[in-house]
Amino acid sequence: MKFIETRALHEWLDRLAQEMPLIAPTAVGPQEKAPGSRNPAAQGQQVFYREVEGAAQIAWDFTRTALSAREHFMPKTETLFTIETGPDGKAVLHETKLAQPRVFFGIRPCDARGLRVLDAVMLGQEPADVYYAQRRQNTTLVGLACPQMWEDCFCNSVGGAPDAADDVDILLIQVEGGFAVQVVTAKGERLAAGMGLQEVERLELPQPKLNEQFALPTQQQWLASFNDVYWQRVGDRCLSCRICSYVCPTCRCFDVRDETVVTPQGERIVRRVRAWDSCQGVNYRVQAGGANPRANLEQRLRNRFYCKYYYVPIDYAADGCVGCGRCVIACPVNIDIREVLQDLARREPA
Amino acid sequence: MSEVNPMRPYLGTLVGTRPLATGIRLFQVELNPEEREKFSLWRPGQFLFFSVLGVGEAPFGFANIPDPQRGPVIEVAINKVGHVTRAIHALPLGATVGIRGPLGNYFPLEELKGQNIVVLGGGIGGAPLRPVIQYILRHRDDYGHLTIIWAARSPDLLVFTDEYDEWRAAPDTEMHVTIDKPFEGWTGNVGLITQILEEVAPSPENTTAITCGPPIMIYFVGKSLSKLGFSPEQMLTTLEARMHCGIGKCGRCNLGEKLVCKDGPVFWQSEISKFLESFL
Amino acid sequence: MIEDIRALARELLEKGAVKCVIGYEVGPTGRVRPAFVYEPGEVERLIFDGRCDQNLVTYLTRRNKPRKKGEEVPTTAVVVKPCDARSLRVLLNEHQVQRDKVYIIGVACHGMQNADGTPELRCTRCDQRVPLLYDALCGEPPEVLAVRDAYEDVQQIEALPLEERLAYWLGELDRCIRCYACRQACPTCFCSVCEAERDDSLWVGIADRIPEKAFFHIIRAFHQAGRCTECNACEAVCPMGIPLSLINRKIAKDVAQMMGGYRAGESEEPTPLVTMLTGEEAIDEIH
Repeated sequence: MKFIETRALHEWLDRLAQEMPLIAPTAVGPQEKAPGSRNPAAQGQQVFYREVEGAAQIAWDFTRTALSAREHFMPKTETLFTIETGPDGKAVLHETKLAQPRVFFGIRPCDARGLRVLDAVMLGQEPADVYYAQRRQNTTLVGLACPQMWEDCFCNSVGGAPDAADDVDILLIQVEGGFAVQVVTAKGERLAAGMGLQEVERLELPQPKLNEQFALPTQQQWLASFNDVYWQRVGDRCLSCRICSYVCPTCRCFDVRDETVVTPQGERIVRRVRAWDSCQGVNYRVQAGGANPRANLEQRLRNRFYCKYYYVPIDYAADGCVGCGRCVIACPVNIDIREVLQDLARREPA
Repeated sequence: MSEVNPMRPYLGTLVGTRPLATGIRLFQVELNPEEREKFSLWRPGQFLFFSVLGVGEAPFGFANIPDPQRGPVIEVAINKVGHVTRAIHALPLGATVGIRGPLGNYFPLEELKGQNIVVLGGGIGGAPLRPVIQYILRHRDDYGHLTIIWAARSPDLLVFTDEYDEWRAAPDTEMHVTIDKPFEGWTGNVGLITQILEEVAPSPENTTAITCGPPIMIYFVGKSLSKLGFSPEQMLTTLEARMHCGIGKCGRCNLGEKLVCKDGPVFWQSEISKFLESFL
Repeated sequence: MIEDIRALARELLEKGAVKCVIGYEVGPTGRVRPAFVYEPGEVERLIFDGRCDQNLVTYLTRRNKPRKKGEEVPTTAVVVKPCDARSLRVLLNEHQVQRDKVYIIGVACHGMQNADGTPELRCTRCDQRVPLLYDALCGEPPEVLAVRDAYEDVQQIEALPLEERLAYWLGELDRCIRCYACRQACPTCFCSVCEAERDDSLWVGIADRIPEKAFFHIIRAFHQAGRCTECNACEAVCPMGIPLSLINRKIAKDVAQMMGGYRAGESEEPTPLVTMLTGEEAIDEIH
């Protein structure tokens, strides 16, 4: 079993941050806001995966980050290419290239598992998305196991575990005085070579406390429930905002637009950008001319649950939800995916 | 992994345009020489994204088949309804445009050889069916009887009117044109496409019907075809949806677990009737 | 109070006076959330206490439209606190809700509490204990305690030098993810196509960059000028914890200063800051 002392890990991270971009969980925002607020986001600093300069900026005690790891592989906005005019007056396209290797430290196992879902969608079928592919190839994932399942987590009900090593290159598990290190992939091995790992004979690994597991609806139950009034009833309180989609590690919908910006220096840049979008948005399906095949709110809400648990498994052979619990916590009207899943799973087979 | 970036359009030049109907024009694009070899030839039913660089892109069906003489001149029929299509209509000849494609599946015309074909187009829905007609006319001996039923709300919304004579004159081909409501000066058929279809009553024997039009038309044409004895395995249609990628990534065009861009846009009626989510 | 609300809801549903009662319930994990009750037998779900801080008036504009063409708009009963009543007043003034399609279950308000039991800041500034309009009132109004300076928090930001103020807002808005929860939760944001979501990007592009995000919030604030009732719904739902109501309250403060103490939703006069259609253009068919 491999082991690294806390101090040695910090020193390694400090060195690493000098060499390449290091993304890690870090606290963001004003320190004191409204500690008693009913809105968990307003209570104090939130933790995000952000680029850090060293170990001192890393948040070590965090539950889950406010946004998932997805924002570093499918950024909220990215330029696909810029459109320039060549010397002959003809348009020239300059595609964005993302070559720089980087380390993503402290990713939670559920977030890493979320990348497996994005991989299936963005890379699993030709043609692959080159922007996502470059970011994915250039990134080594160092996972940080959860010491326990947090409130609202349900990874163990959807096939994950708080200390799963399946989707990372290296997994760290906190133990007395440091971290147990599992090197999972060849990519991880290359990175671990510089970590100065110790070989120890025996290491007592903690058993993370798990939340109660629940059964998921069967495919038949999903099929039979599609036109049920149930969706209208859950949709009653839905606000049709996009929080659930945007905090989700596996949502991937995007919009594409051209835009022209003028920099403060007066430079005119024409570019095609893509940005996150959500099936919960009112205009998501609106066609030019105004037709909206998903005009009712409950149709949009229903789509999100079916996408995770029915469409993605069929279309991309991947589980669409990793049980991170972010949508549960962030939904302002308490639409709780666990409740929906359990409601459907309780139904009599049709 | 392929090095081709599916989000990057091929650059081409707008080489021709002509009006087809009120608000609808045909646009002809010739790809720039350096782009041509990377661009694979398309088949009837496939679609493309048409870019006005700096404004945006939108999906359209190919409205022609590749011409063996002229090379890959791409034709699309575009209705001026949104901000991208307004920009396309405003393009001057010679403008640089972007084309992404060909995307999606296609009408299985090879498999339909030896059959009679009924083509039913409503309004601009006729545009993606024009390559079907062109293909059959080019391979006329491979197919049986061809029935074309063309409809629009009013005469000024009929597309490709200047080609009707040529289609009618083709061997073993009949064509019927109808408009929804009486219109001053119109002496042809009046009535919904379903009405004309039931009057013409093509035999379902060894026949496949191919429909494109607004969703509600596709729905009712399907009902009429059933009445005439067509089974859902004899009805083909092509659907449209809002899209931003065309390759199954952006998530937008799903009908249940089916993606219009990747699993379609061409579907058998027998598939559509099993869709979890209605296309209407 | 809870019993009053339940009894009234049961009566309204049994009589068929309303199709649905919108109130509050406790979800399976103990969180308070909006409840939509359609059957008299389900009224026991309804609760009311200091955790019921959501503004349910938000749901009325959506229910004021028929789901299908030609369908009649159903009558809905809604539990309304004094602050929520002001939002409803604005919607009535702007013809977004038909008065005869809403049954207002007013509640005498003791103020809302934070998760830690302390009073919500906005409630310490409020002197209204009874809604301005209701069809029935539940509960006994408590006495009005001392009310704090309404715009202390706004003044603190105003007092900062320009650079610091800018840095503060850029720092806060940087976290915005454009989820539009603020807009969706806002009872008085009801445009069918938001300026920030036009396909042609006429005013704002789709990018998640500070200029676009700041511009979205500024557009929203200006559209709320003289209409925002300071219900705090925008801030309460923000998943990034951005103090959004500060922006809207700054404008509310300026409106009050410039318009002789005008406060949105306190009178039947629409805001003096938006155009009123009169004469032939007046939309009065849904009064």
